[in-house]
Amino acid sequence: MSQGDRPTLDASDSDLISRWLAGDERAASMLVEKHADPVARYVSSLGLRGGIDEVVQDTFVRAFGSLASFRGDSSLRTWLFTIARRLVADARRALRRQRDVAEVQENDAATEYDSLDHLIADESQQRMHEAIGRLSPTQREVFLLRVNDGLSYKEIAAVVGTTEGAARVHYHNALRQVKERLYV
Amino acid sequence: MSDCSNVEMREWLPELLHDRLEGNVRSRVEAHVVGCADCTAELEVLRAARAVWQARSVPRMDVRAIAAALPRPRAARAAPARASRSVWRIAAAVTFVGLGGVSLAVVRQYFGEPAVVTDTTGVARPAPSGREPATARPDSLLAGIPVSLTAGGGVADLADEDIEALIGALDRLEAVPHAEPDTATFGRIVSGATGGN
Repeated sequence: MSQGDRPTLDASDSDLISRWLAGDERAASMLVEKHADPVARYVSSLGLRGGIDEVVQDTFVRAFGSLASFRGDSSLRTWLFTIARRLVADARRALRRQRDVAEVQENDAATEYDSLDHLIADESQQRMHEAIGRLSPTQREVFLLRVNDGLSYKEIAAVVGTTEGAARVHYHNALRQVKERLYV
Repeated sequence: MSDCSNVEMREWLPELLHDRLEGNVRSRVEAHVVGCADCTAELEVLRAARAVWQARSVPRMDVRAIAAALPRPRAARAAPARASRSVWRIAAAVTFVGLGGVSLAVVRQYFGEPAVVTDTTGVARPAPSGREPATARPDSLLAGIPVSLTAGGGVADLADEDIEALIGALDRLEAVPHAEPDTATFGRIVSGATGGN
């Protein structure tokens, strides 16, 4: 499956990183512009209700703080997702300690999404939304990384902290459940 | 809804969705999808899932604010330091040369032109005009440095290669001299010039 193994570092990302390391600060703006919204969407998919902009900004600050040591083994976006995931986990732990936000349980995935995306006019879209919402957090995360962001299993494994095989299993389980809920 | 038995083709569907397939592989997958109802339906599920997710309202990120919060690149941070080091080295060179020049000027003013310049800096007599300018004695700490500089000339008139040579000589200087200054010799010069014994 050679065409699925995309270049680890996008040529334009690599060029922008080199330019930034050489002192071109405009290259940083271009990288942020390219990846900020996808990172925000990924952070949102992890269930964070507030402070998405702060998490996204922290993600880029941390990434650029260690960009000189970034080897390019994965794509830049994968690396950003990995950092964002850790920050969301930290934010959740902090919120749990403050008891301000309800904890997201494995069997309570649907309630988290009931209050989001209120205006879905099309019934089929509503059903799709509910089907995705009823996946377990891990299945939903893997499914969306594959379908929405187009990451390979290898990249998904790096972001989520699992193996390629496990990522493949999670994806197909999620897809099967979505199909079942759509075509009941 | 059933799943296609061709596992390889099913794995290509997300790649096809993201328009990442090329050439022969793309042609094969597209041809398969056209002829497979299960893969056609699955591709449509993936497309719908992506569309629903893309339609979710997510706060628009302030790119300028994020970029402003980023650390400066290392090259931009290092440049001022390198410039600062060069400035200090040149300043040290100017100070060193200036002190040497002042001391020689004092000796000449009060004690006349010495027959042999043997002060502790080891600077040679300025050469007559028309010849190559003398440099410091080869065994002196300032070997290779133009005499015009060591005799109190300013750095403003120096060529770039002279400044580089001066900085190189400073790099060769050691904190502690190899030997104690020859006070006996210097003392004879002073006493001889003043007429004392």
